[in-house]
Amino acid sequence: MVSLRAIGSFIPERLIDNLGLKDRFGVSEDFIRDKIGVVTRPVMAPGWDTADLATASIKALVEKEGLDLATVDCLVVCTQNPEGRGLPHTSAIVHGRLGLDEGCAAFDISLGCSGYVYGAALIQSFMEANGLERGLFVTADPYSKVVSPDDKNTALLFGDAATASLFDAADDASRPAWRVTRARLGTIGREWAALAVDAEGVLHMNGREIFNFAAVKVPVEIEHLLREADLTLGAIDLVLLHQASKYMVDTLQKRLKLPPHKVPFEAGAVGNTVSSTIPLLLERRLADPKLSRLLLSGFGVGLSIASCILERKAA
Amino acid sequence: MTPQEILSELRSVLDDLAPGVKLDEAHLDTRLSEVGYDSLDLANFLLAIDEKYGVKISDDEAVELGTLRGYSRHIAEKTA
Repeated sequence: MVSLRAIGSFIPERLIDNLGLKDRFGVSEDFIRDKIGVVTRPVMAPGWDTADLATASIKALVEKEGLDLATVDCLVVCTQNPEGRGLPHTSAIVHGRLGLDEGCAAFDISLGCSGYVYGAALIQSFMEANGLERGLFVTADPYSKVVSPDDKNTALLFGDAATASLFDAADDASRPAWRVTRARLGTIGREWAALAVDAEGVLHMNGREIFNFAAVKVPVEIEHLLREADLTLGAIDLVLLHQASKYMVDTLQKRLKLPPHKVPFEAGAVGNTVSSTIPLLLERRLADPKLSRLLLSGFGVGLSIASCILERKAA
Repeated sequence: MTPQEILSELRSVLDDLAPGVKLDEAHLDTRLSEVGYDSLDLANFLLAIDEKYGVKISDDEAVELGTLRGYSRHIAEKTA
């Protein structure tokens, strides 16, 4: 069986200080700290593009795990801001730069904030269906390519980052092993215009519509997922939500009637990194022996929503 | 429900959503944004009105209504 084993990440060193922008956007320091919750935002270096971020996250994973890239037979990149103009697919460029094997499957998936949950469920199933042994699932969606620095709705929110998750079929008890045991995946396509890039290549967000969508839909989807899995929230160690903003996470935590420590918000230094927010939360928790069952939920552009149960396999 | 009853409920809703903002009798005819509620509080408030009373308030209507008393009257009319 294929399991999630480890996650590596790359966060650019160049940081934008949101507090320095409060007067420009007419917001208070309290609003930035307590509502948006994003104090600094990483932005990729000038001249960098999506494949650079993706490659850096894989190199971080290799360094951490001592991974032999020659053994990788599957590479999936989740992005909606691909390298250049998106042709060829970013995963092919990353494949080439890392010198991966010609027998390695490589493809992109186009999803935003729901992308990690979709992608984890997809790569696990895809690898098992095709007898693949070692896969990398990368999230790299630098919104600095599409956010206008003058747009109050988005300019203080998004950060650039990338993550690389290692999935393998090895019988290796030395590393934690986590599996997606149940997923609910959905889309409200009729509302796609609430979060979209326009013809000029600039992101626009209707904050109220996105807020309503997430506040209403996420608890309902989580309830359905738990029912399908024959579980209750009490059986979940942590709920790891897409880090849209502090206010969004706080609102969902209250609507789920959970204590704050079970629904962490940890994007204060990195911002909303789109499909990377959930793996960034997961990265530091995979090896925690106190955790055995997590619930992940990503939601946003599409409007897309994806939730899953992630369970630690017994050694 | 009377506008007064709705007003009382809306005050509780706002106290729950944004306990850090002090809302008293003197503020009933003051625009909520001037009382201290920010755009996120107001989005949450409008969602709460939709869920509690089944009344959808557009962005334009919200600008027009603005005050707690204005919202209360509007909801009373829509639910009469």
